[in-house]
Amino acid sequence: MKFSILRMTLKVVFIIFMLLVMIGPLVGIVIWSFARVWYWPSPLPQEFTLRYWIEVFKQGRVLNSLVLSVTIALLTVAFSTLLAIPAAYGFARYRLPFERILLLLFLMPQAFPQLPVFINLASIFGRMGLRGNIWGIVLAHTMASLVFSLWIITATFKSIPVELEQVAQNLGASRFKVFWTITFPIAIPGIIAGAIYVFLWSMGEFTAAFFIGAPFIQTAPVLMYTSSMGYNLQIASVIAIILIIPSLIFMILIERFLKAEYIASLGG
Amino acid sequence: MRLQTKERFIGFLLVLPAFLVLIFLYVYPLIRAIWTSFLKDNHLTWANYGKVFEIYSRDVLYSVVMTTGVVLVVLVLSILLASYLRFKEWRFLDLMYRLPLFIPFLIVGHAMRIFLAPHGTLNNLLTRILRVEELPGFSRSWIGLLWTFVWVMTPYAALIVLGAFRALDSSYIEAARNLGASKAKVVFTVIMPMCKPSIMVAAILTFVRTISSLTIPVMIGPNTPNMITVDMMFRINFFNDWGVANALGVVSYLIVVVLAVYYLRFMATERGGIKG
Amino acid sequence: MKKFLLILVVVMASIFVFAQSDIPVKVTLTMMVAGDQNMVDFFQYEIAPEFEKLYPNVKIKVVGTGPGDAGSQQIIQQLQLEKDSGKEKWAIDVVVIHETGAVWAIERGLIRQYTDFLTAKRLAIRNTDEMALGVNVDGYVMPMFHSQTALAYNPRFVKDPPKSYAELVEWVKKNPRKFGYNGIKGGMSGVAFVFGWVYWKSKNTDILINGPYDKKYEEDWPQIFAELKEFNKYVTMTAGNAGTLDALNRGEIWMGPVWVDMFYTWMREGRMDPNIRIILLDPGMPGQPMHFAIPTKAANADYALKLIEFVSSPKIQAKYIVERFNWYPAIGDDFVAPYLTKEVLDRIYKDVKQAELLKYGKPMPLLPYKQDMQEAYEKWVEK
Repeated sequence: MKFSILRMTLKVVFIIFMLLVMIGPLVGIVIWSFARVWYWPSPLPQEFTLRYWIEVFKQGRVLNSLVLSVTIALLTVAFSTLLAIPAAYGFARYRLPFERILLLLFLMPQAFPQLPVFINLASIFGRMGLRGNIWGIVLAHTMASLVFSLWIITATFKSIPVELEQVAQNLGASRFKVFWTITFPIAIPGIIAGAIYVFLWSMGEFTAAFFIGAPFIQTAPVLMYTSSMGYNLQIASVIAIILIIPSLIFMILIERFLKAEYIASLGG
Repeated sequence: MRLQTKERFIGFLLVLPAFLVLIFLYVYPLIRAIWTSFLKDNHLTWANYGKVFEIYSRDVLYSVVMTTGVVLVVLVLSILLASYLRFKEWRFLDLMYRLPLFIPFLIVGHAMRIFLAPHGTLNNLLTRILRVEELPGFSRSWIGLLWTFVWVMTPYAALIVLGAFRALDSSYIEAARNLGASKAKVVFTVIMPMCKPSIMVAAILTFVRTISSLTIPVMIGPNTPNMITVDMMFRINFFNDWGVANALGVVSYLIVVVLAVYYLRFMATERGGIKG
Repeated sequence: MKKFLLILVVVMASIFVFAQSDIPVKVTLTMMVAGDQNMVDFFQYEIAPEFEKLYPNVKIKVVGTGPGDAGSQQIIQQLQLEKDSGKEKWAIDVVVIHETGAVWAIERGLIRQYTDFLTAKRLAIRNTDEMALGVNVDGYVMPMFHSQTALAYNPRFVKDPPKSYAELVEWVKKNPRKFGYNGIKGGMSGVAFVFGWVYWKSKNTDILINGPYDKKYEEDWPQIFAELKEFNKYVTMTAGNAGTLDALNRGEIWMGPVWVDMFYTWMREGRMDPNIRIILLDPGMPGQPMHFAIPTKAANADYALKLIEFVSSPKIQAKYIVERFNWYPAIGDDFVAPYLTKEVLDRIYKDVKQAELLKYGKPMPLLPYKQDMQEAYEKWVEK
């Protein structure tokens, strides 16, 4: 009996510890996002305000940056999905030499340090007039996130039995028609999963957006960074919370697609 | 035979657009990075590397040591976590440890600099509970940096390790348990050796992600010394000095390449081939 | 019938076109602003709406490049890119830069002379519009406001603040780690503190400020910076201009050098403990204005001039710079006084009196000395 009481206390202590360590940092930003006046030694803000949250919905810096981030993320999703579908089909259905190595090559941008590539991309884009331009960021994001859609969609195509296509082809349908009417509809869930990965990654991406876009265009993460560095903690916290929410929701929704290789890079 | 060539050609065409994107937007900038790292005033030279060695050798060392430290702590924690969850279902822990997976690094950096500051939210709470005047703050010090890296890296490593632990055939464990081995002993002598490849993967991925992270060290690292990535950013933003920045980039790449080669060789001996 | 329709369309279209020509063309006025967020906010939320009301065809786009010389550096880089591209019309119409930035820009031919056309120029009474860091900048720049570094302290912990650098050194030894500044990489407040330190210790302070430049006046520097290194042992390093303010607000440090303009912006937004006060240290701390400049080939130079005229006008200086933001005006106090009540004008001199400002407010050193000081700090203090 005594033993189990000890166990219970230990367990409670551990739970509190875990909550403090894991949730604590998030609670901190939530409090800051509502703080107006908060100076030491007060444990909580002396005055609360909704002002910084209202800015999210009002025309202005915060809203602009969020709209910009969503636009960039959607364009990136469109590009990388359009590039990935044919490529994935190629990998899944045609015997390509060095298939494995080629697939691994697409992982390179996520598996190796990204900073050197992005800064050089920035200077290349600078000469082409793509710096400080959303298309520059979209291109960089497409390149780096291609691996998510490519890998997920390749796996999806591979999981669809070839026989399905062969039957239809034997009935006289063209290869393209077979793809369009049979393979593609079955693969839609996989394509969507890939798109969500790409979307989330692009929304949270900082390095490319900073070097290619700033100071002329500020995506939400870049604005969050400059605000946080300038100790505009409220604005930074509001944006931080807004950026966390979609990934939490999506991630719960697509948990079964969670593969270590992919989420590895979500943090950026 | 003809047909097969045609097939291959179609397949090649399908992959081509994606591949071109990779070539132009990834391989080309990378080659340019290496090329620029040898350029100073339009001359080929080692000068940039000389400067890296002269000014930043301490930071390179710091990055490697910090990263290695992170990997060690993360491995210990994730093996502990995975061993516990292997034997026992605990929904609370399962949820908690995975939380950081969903939060972009930049936001983690911001949250931690608020949380770990000398009078940040953590110390605000602790000083009141412990009834002490002052506690040290960890943000902008190596402790805060290590803490944050471990916070974001552990869940991912644990996910890999736990996956491997769970995939392991229970009969081995049962057998060992029947022979009277304690759980701890089973973990050490049976599970861990059998899951060595996955633990290696977890370690290497943690290493790579840590050493290439920019946002976390920028937000909570100390002024000096700091990670290579921060120095690169500084070189570009303050001095507009692309040569040295790229030399630093190449150095960080080389560190990872050495590791990647080691990893591939390890995998080759372990499994008799590369498995993606 | 068809023909008639066609003619009708053409007529309608031409009416439309000619009617349009009377309305001024839509203009996007792009400005790049160095400095902390408070500068960007000032233009985006205060000045832009007012100016756009006055000129409805103009839309102001504000781009902030961050604090310190790095912020100015980014602007210079951007202008240089425009220049190198050989374009006839540059995309940037107005820049707001530090003195260093102004000197760089003039050296590289990136900004033009324009202040002859500026009425407000005659109202600028300090000579900052003529000399910056020992370089003649007359004609190229118009100050937007003046700022000053000062020592902020929290009276809750510091009852009797030090009045001079010498007293500060004593105080710091008694209260280790309670004084914080941001070194020389994270913004100008730390840089200015270091310059003030050198002014205090150097035998040649006047030469550092007024010239001429000669390495022989730097002889005593190794000793000066060695003492600063010793001093740094008792000091907390903060993260940037804003970092010092934040640490003060959160009580992590009790004292630190800050920009007066940022200090008051924070106070106004409620982000600063209202008890905190500022003081100027003897023998003086540097200050500098932020300058307006127009790029050499700015596409909308006419509206740029109008904007600068607008912000420098006594009314706007009074209403925004002094009343709303508590900054020191760019033009003489006498010119803004008619638009203000006495209390408001006095408020900006509440902590630091006008006389003290004149006595202890120093200019930045000559550009080459400034650069040498920054390098000396890296070489002798940081290592």
